[in-house]
Amino acid sequence: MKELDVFRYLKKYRAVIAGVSILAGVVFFWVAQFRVQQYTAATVIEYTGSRAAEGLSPDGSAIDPSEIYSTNLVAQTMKSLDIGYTEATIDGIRMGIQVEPVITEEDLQVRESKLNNGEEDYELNPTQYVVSFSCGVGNGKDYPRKILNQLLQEYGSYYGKTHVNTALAANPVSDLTSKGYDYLEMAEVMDDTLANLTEDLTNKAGWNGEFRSSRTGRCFQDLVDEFAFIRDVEVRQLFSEILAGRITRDRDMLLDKYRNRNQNLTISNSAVSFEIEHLQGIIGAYEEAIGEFRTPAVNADGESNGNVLQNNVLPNVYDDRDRYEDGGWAPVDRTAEYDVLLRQYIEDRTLYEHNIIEGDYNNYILSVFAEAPASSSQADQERIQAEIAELAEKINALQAVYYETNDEYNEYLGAQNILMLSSVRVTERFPIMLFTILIVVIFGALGCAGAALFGRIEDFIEYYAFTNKVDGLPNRAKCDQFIASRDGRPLPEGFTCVVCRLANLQAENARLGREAGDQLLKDFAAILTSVFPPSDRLFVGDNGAGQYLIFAESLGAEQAEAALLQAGVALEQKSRDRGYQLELQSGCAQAGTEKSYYIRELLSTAIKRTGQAKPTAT
Amino acid sequence: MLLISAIIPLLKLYLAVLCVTLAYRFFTVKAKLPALGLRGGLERLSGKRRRLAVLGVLFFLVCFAARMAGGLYTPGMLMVFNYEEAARGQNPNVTRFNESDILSDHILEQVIQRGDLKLSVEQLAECLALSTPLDAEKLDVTQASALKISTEYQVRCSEKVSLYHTTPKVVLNLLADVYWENFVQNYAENNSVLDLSFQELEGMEYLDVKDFLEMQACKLRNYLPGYSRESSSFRAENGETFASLSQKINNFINIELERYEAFALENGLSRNKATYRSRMQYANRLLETDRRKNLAAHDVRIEAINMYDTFMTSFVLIPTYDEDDEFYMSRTKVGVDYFAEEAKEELASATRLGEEMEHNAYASAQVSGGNTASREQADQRIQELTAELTRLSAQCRELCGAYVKEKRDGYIQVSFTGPSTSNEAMRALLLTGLFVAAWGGNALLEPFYREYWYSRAVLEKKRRDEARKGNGV
Repeated sequence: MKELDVFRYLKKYRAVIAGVSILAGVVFFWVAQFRVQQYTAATVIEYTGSRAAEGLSPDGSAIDPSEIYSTNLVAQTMKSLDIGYTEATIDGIRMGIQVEPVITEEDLQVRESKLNNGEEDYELNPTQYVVSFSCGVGNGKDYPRKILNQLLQEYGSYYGKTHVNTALAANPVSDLTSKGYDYLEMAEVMDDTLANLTEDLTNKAGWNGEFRSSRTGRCFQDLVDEFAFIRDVEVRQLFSEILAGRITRDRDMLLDKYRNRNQNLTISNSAVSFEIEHLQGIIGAYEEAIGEFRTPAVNADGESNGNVLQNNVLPNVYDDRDRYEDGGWAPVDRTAEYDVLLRQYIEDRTLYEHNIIEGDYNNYILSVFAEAPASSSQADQERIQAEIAELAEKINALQAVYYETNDEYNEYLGAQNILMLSSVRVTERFPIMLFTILIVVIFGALGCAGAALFGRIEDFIEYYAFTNKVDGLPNRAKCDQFIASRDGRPLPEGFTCVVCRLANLQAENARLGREAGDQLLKDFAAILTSVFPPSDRLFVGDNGAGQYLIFAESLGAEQAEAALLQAGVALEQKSRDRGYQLELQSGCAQAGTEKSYYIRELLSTAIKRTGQAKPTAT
Repeated sequence: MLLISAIIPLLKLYLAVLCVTLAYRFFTVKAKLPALGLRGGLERLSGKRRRLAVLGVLFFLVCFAARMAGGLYTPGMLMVFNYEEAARGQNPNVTRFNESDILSDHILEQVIQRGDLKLSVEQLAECLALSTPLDAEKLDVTQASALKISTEYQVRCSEKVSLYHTTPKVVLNLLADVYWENFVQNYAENNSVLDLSFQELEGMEYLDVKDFLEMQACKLRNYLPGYSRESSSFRAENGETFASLSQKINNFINIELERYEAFALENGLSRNKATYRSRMQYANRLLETDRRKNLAAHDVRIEAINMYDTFMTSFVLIPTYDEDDEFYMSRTKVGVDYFAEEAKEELASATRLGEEMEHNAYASAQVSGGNTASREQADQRIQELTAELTRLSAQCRELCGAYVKEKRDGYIQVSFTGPSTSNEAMRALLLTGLFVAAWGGNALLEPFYREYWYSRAVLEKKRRDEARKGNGV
C-alpha cells in the first residue's frame, strides 16, 4: 500500500477543496448579506435636567429611557414617516431598539469607593445612553437612520410635554357659540378662559423668557399681552354691553341660576362657619395644652433662665429628608400641627369671606336682570351673538398660535433636557466580509482534513481492490478502469501506450520456485516504475495476463524507446544480481504517429507489436 | 448620459469575460505549455505589443473619460450647517436637528412639485442617498473624543433620475432650495412678529389705542433681548445697537404714548362716551369684587397672625451669609412668616386693583366725547405714533437681519463636489492594468489554443470520415 502522504492527497483534491471553499464563501456571503445582515443606526443621548444626576426628570419622576421605545412613540414615528403596517409592525420596530446606559470605568470606581466608605445608599445614575436601532438591509441604509431620528424627535417632544412643560390651559371657547349658553355665561366662560391662559402663559414666560417659536414667531410674553388686551378691552366691552342692555336669551333661567348660586354659597358658608367654630375650639385646646411649657425654668437660686427655646443656635439642619419605601429620598412635610390647624382656619375663613363677596356679585347680576325683558329683542341678540362669535374666533385663532408655539416649546425643552452627543451613525452590524473569509478558511481546512481522510480510504480501496499484491502495481481491474475512463474520448497526439511482457516468466517461475518468481515480479515492477514513474499523466499497470501496460499522456516514441532500453539494462543488472534470466518483450504505439486516437485501438497496436517483438534476453 | 454611465459597467463586464476566457484557455492548453514557456511566449507577443499598447491606452482613456463624465453628471451635494447650534445637533431654534428631514417625504414632494418632475416620491427617494463622514467611524462610547456631531451631510443623486427626464444636478439644486426654505421656515429666526398691523385701530376707543400701541411696542421690545444677550456689542452699519433700539422703544412707550394718553384724558376723547363709561363701570365692578376678595384674604391672615400663640413663635437662630456675603443671623420660619407673606401678596394685589380702579374711574369721569378739533388732533397723533412704531419695527428688522446674516451666514452652505481627477485616473489605471494582463494572457495562449482546436478539428474530421466509411460498407 502507498505510504501516508498528506500532501499527495491535498495535491490530488486541491481543485475540489478550493472550489468547495469558494462556493461555500459565495453562498455564505449571499445569504448573510441579504438575509442575515442588519444595519444599525446608533447615537448617544444625555439627560441634562437639573436633577438628571439623581436619576430624576425635571418634574421629579424617575428618568425612564424605556419610554423611547414605548408603543405610542413608535406608533407616532410610523405615522410621521408614513410607514404602513404591511411594511413594519410596532413590535417589530420595538424589538430592534436598544437603549443601553453608558457607564465608564470612572463611574464604577466612584461607586466602589463610595460603597467602601460606607455610603451604602449610593446609587449610580447614568445620564448618558446609547440608543440604537437595528433592522434588515431590505429597506436600505437610510431606513434605520430615519426611524431612529424620528423616534428621538418624538421622544424629545414627549419628554418636554410629559416631564417638563406639563401644564397647558384648556380652550373651552372653541365650541362656545354652539352650546346654547346665555350671553352672560358665554362672556364669563371667555373671561375665565382668558384668565387661565394668561396665568399659564405668564408662568411659561417667567420660566423661559428667551424662547421664541420659529414657526409662529411669538414668544410667550407676546401671547400674554395679546390675550390680556382681548380680555381687558374686548371681553369687558362685551360684558358691559350685555349688562347695560340687559341682553339675555332667557331671563328667568338666568335669574334662577344666580339665585341657585347664592343658595349654594349660603349652604357652603353655613358648613364653613361650623368648621371654623370647631377649629377655633381645637386651636384653643392646643394652646392650652402647650401652655404648660410656658412656665420659665427656674435655677437653684430661684432666678428665671428665660425661654429655653429662644435664641438657641443649631449647628446643622437635621432630618432634612426622609426615605421612601422604594429607596428614593424626598422632602417630607414637617409642618407643625398647630400651623396645619391655622392653615385650615385661614382657608375656611377666606372661603367664607369670598362666598359673601361672590354673593354680592350675584346679587348685582340679579338686580341688573330683574328688570330685563323675559327675552331680549331679536336684533340685540343677533348683534351680541355676532360679537361673541367674532371674539370667540379671535380667541381661537390666538389659541391655535399658542398651541403651535407650545408644541415647539416642548421640542425645545426636549432638546434642552436631552442632548445629542453624537450624530446618528449607520453601520453594518456584522462584518460579513470577515466572516466570509473565515468561512472560506474553515471550509479549506475541513476540505484538507477531508481530503486526507478520503485519500487514505481511497488508498485502502486502491490497495485491496485495484492492486496486484505480488508486484504492487495496479491490477487488471484498475487497468480496465483506466482504459474505460479514456474510452470514447480522442487521445492527444502525444499519448503513448507501451506494453511489456516477460516472455519466459512461467519457465523461470517453475525453475526458481514461487517465492523467487514473486521476487522477480517485484523487481521488474520496481524497474518499470523507476523508468516510468506513475503520475497523473502516466499510468503503469499489470493487466494480470503477464502484460504490463504503460499509458503516458505525452511521451514521444524516442523517449519511450529510450526508457524501454533503460528498463532492459536495469533488468539485466538485476537478473545478474539475482541469478535469474528474463526475456522482455515490449511494444509501443503513439497516437499521433499511429494516427490512432482511441485507447483500445492504440493498446491493440502496442500489444500486437509486443507479440511481434523479439524477446530481449537478460 | 445613461449610455455613458453604462460604459464602465460594460468595460468591467468585458474585463470579466476576458479573465474567464484567459482562465479557460489556460486550463485547456495547460498540458501543451512548455515548462519555461513564458519567456518564449512573451517573444511571441512581439508582434502584438504595439497593438496591446494602443488598446491599453484606448481602454484607459475610455475608462477615465467615462468615469469623469459620470462624476460630473452626478455630482455629490455637500450641505454644511454653519450656525452655532449645529455642532450640538440642534436647529437654530434649539430644537433637535433631524438630518433625515433632508430626504423626508414632504420635502421630496415639494421638490417634485417645484421641478414639475415626472416621478413619484418613492422613485425619487430611491435615487437619493444621504451620508455623513461619521458613518465610516464606529461609535465608541468609551472615548469622549469619539462622540461627535456631524455638521456636513453628503447627498447623492443617482443617474437613474435621467429616466424621468431630468438630471441629478437639477434634482439636487431643487432639493437644496426646497430644504433651505423649509428649514428657515420651521427652525430659523422668525421675525414675523415685527410685521405690525394697525387695522384694529379702526374705530378703537382713543384710550384703548394707547394700550394697543403699547402692546405692539412691547412685541418689538421682547424681540430684542435674545440677540442682546447673545451679542450686546453688535452694531449695525448705522451704529444702532440692541440696547439703543430697546431704549428707543422704551422712550416710545414711556414718553410718546404717555403724552398721547394725557392728551386723550385731558380732552376727554372717546368714540362712544356711554359705552366706554359703561365698560369702565363694569370693569370696576369686577375689579372691586377681586379687590374685596384680596382684602378679605389679607384680613383673614392678619386675624390668624393675631391669633397665633406667642409661645409657638419660638425660633432657632441660624448664622448664615446674606447676598453681599456678609454674616447674617437668619432664623427658622414658623407659620406666621408664611401667613404674613401671603397677607403681603394679597395686599399688593388689592392695592394694584385699587389703583386700576382709580384709573378707570378717572378715565370714566374724564371722557366727555371731546371736540372735533381735539379728535382730529388725536387722529393725527395716532397716525404719527403708528408711523413711529413702523419705523422702529423696520429698524428692528434691519438690525436683527444684519446680526442674523453675520452670525448665521445663511444657515446652510451648499456646494457640489465633482470627481477627483487623480482618483479617477488611478481607478482607470487599475482597470487598464487588469485589461492589459488579461488581453496579453489571451494573446499569449492564442497559438496553443489554436493548435488545440486544430487537432480537435482533425480528429473530428477523421471520426466523421470513419463513420462515413463504416456506413458505406
